[in-house]
Amino acid sequence: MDLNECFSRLRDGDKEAFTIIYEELKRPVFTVACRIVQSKETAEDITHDVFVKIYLSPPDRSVRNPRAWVFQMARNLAIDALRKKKTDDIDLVDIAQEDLIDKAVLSWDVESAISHLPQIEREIISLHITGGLSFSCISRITGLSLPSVYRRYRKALGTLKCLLDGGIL
Amino acid sequence: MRKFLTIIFTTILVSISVIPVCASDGAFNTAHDLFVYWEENDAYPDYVCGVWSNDGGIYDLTISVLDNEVGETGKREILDLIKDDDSVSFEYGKYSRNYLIRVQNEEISQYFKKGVGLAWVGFIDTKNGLTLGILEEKKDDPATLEWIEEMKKEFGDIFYIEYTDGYVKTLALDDSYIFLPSVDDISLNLRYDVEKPKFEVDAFFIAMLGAAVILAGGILALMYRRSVVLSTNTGRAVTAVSRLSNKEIEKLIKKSDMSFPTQLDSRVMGDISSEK
Repeated sequence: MDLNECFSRLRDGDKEAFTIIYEELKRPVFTVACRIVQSKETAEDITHDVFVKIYLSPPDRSVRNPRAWVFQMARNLAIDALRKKKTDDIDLVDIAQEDLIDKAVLSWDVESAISHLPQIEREIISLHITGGLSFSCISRITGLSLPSVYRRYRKALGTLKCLLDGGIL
Repeated sequence: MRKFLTIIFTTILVSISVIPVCASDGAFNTAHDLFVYWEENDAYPDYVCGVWSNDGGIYDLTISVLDNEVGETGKREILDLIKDDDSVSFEYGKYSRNYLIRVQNEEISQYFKKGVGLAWVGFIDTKNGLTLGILEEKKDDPATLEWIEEMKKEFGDIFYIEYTDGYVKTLALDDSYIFLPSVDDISLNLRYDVEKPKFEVDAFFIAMLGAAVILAGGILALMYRRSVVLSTNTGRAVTAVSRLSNKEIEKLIKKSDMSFPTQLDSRVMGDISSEK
């Protein structure tokens, strides 16, 4: 059963479909939230809120891309959380220690590198690679023009290339 | 050491690029010979806007040059280079061919299959511009229209739009080069002596030495390729030597999804159950 079908069934009251949606999207949603807010605790809250909302108010039929709808919600909640936090502090230790248990050094390196990107670039990278959203979707979600999204994406990849290859800050 | 080598081979490169232009009068018999030289060596001067045939043959070409002092100088240079001035006529254009090809290959080509409806892009000599092949189905798509406007703002009035129903594999259409004959056609059907540009012995030696230095420099550049200076969210600049490709970076990011906290499962499912 694909995701669109699951959302359709969820709308019709099939609560089992929610489990499939949850298992499919929980990790990418959590990852995207984490990369934007740079805090695992806050990302957990955001992920929780996203899925409770999906369960209680699934997207209606007019939403053609429910996957994008989910990530848009996650992104909006993350931006709200950042505004409340009003700080750019990077909680590298929080992220690094947990990921040392799982594919340790590589994950830490990548997350550490991503954390050094400006917020908008973290969003775009995460939504495209982790969330699997197209650039035109991301353009609609973020309000940036399509060429701007693509330029920032390429710039972010360039920065990550430098950092992951032993670049100097 | 790298800076020193860079300076050396840049100097040689500049010297070599000047050599054909400074070759003796009448280095090429006709404008067509000069055109073939430019094509085979990817050596179009920046003042050339385009080249096309007026009669479908090779004896009557039009070369479009920039409509400014640089173009006028280029026109005189071309006439100095060819023996048969009657084989060429001139027009003026706004954009250098090299600029347009660079925009086509380095800027526009990135947008293929990126949701903006771009199916192909082609360089048109006679129009001194680029034709964008836009999918018919995307004709009224807001993202497509917005992208076209952005491109116009960024690169100027160089674009012509054509609507199409499919993709083509090549970046630039062969038809965009209106000039027709292939080198094979020339050797079979026409008999004239093509005089190669004369190189002085010392110029040839410099060219060979330069080629060796360029090769060495190219190898060094490949081994130690640098990234553009970028900035992070703290405003600090990043410079480094990079060997990872974009695809490799994307794979790394995809693999490094965060490990999901198991207590969150219980929290979400617990709240969901209480809502049932």
